[in-house]
Amino acid sequence: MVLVLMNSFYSKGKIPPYYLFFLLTVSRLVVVMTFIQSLSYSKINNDYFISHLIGFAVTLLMSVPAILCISLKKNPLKNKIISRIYFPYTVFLSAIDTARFSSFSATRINSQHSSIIFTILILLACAYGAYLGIEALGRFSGFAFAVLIMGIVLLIAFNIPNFEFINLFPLIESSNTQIIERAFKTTSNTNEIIVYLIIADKLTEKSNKPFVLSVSSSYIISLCVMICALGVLGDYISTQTFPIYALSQMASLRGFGRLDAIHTAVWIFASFIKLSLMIYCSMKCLKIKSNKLSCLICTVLTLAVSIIFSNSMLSSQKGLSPTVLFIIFALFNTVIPLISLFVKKRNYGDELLENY
Amino acid sequence: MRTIKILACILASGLLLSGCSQTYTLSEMSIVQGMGIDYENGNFEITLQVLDTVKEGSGVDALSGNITTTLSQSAQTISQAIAKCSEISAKKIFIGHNNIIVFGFDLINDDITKSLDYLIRSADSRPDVLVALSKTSAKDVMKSEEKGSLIPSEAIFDLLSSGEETGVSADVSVKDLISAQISDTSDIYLPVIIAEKDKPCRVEGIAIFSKSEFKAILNEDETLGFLFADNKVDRCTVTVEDSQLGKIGIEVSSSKTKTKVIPSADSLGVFSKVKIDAQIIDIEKNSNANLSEDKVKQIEKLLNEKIKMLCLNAFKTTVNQNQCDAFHIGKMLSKSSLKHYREFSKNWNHYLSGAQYSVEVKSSINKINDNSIRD
Repeated sequence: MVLVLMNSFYSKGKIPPYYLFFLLTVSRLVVVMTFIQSLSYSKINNDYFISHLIGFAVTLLMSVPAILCISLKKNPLKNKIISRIYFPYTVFLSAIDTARFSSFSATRINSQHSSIIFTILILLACAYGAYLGIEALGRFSGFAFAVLIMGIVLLIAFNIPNFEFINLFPLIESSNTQIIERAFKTTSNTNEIIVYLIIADKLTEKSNKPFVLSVSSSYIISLCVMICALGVLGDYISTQTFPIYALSQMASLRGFGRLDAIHTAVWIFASFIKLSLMIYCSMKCLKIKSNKLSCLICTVLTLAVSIIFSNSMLSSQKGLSPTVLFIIFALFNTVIPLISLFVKKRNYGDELLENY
Repeated sequence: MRTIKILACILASGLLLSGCSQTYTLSEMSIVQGMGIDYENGNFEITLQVLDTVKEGSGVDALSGNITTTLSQSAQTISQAIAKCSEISAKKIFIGHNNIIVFGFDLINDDITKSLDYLIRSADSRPDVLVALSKTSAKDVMKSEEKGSLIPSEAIFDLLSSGEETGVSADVSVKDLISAQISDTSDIYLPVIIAEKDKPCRVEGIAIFSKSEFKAILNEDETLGFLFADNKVDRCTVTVEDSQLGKIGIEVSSSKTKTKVIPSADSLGVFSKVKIDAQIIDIEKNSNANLSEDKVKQIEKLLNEKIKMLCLNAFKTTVNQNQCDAFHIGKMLSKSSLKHYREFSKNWNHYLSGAQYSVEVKSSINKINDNSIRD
């Protein structure tokens, strides 16, 4: 009886839904911790919160086809060909995240070393993390989540004395077009939909709640962090490539100051989870039997593409066109799942296997 | 296999966490505590106050007297001048612990924005470093001994931080400075420091700017009024005069100011409400410790009028006469009416010069002397 109960809670190679929540929330919050202003559509200002809320609504809306695909057992990624079409997109996402990590490391943390060294170091660690599998990543994500939330709470709490309400005004500085475009840029930074599509069959229980909760909570937390940054830094925020790092430099409580070290440490934990998860997702999309070989291929490709992106970020401080990014995002996260909803037949075979 | 993995982790941790790549010991670094920026004949002169590890000594002589020294170099850019300082000290300049940046008066007479790009662009620049203006040269401030102080820059940092709370100076950080300079409507202001030979540095007013152009230095009363109007005063001492009681020393224990901006068709109306808690510390002509309720109300009235006058004068000098929006009137206007903000900000100085200011002060004297509390 006890063994039956235990088996119903634990399945090898699968994770409980709350691990998914931790993984996706940490993955999303890393985006705000290393928010690179020069890659956003226009300079950050007080109407950012409007873009953020619109982005939140758009993200939830665009994730509906993916959620329905998983609920109705019509996941497009079950198909080997489609899965391999997703493979370059997942490598692209991993490479962007790696490039941001090494760009931040090489500019703010240690400007004496080349960004390639940081790229190689983080990818070595993340390749090992991805190789260990989703269970190991899930367990570590719980720890990273706790550390990240503690870091964010400290960051906001220690900046309360520096917060000036007047810095949030004028409330609207950008045009309506700029606000909408920034909202869509925020949405296209979302990796969580595609991660959910890839690892949905790794959950012990089928539930969409962790996904919706993780997107909602990460958007709300990042909104709080950005409002804090705007209220503390004022117009100074528009001069900072990494405004959240500047916010952590301002954090202090009486004699206890200079908390940028905590920001760096917390961010490294979270980045490790995110990058390992993205490499793991690339491995799943590649659908090669040998785990080692797929891990090696994904890591090498991520390294190559991220070096190209790093050079672009450091030299010209420009990312890809926001329109192109959004079109690619929409295609893989919404259009293909939507087509699959209408075209793909329900996979009764998998259902029977699960019930059996 | 497991043993190999454990050994690999230990080796990786040892290599990566020990930080042995390109490290510098304390004796190889010049740790900057204060930076002075002067400008003369097209060149920046940088004066760095650095810790002198040789002077620190040991035993009984350890940590007594000034443990800093100054390095001074000129170059066409700030970064080049700092690099030249490194050459003469033969050590790596470490700016991460810098407390203050002082601008020389000759710099602001030319153009203060020349030095601001370094504060934005440099990886060594921190937003929480305090900035100030020297009435003479920044070099004089950096070389000032601040008698009895181990690190003079730290003493100046404390002077500026506590100065704002006590109504004698302003506490302006790099973040505040850049923020004001970038803003479409707000303007820069800086605390002014005077360094005299054989005397510690003292603060003397606030320098106000309009569109990065230096305009004036506020005197002591105007500085206090400025800080009251800007809701920056924590506690201070004010003297009022009564015909019967003579001069009365009043300590303000807390102060809160709320300001609203209400635009009309072609002008600005600025309204402030100041709420003060205070206590009477000394009265010139009253040997009797007791004061009647009427007398207390009269003193409160005198205090209200005094504070009101201080605020009005400060506003008149800062905003009307010199068109300096150090009070963030523009941002407050955008809070009241975005439409008017967009319209007025196109010709902001014109609207500032014609802005009407009114202030209502409400003070409450809580204690008459140390041992009695008002009923």
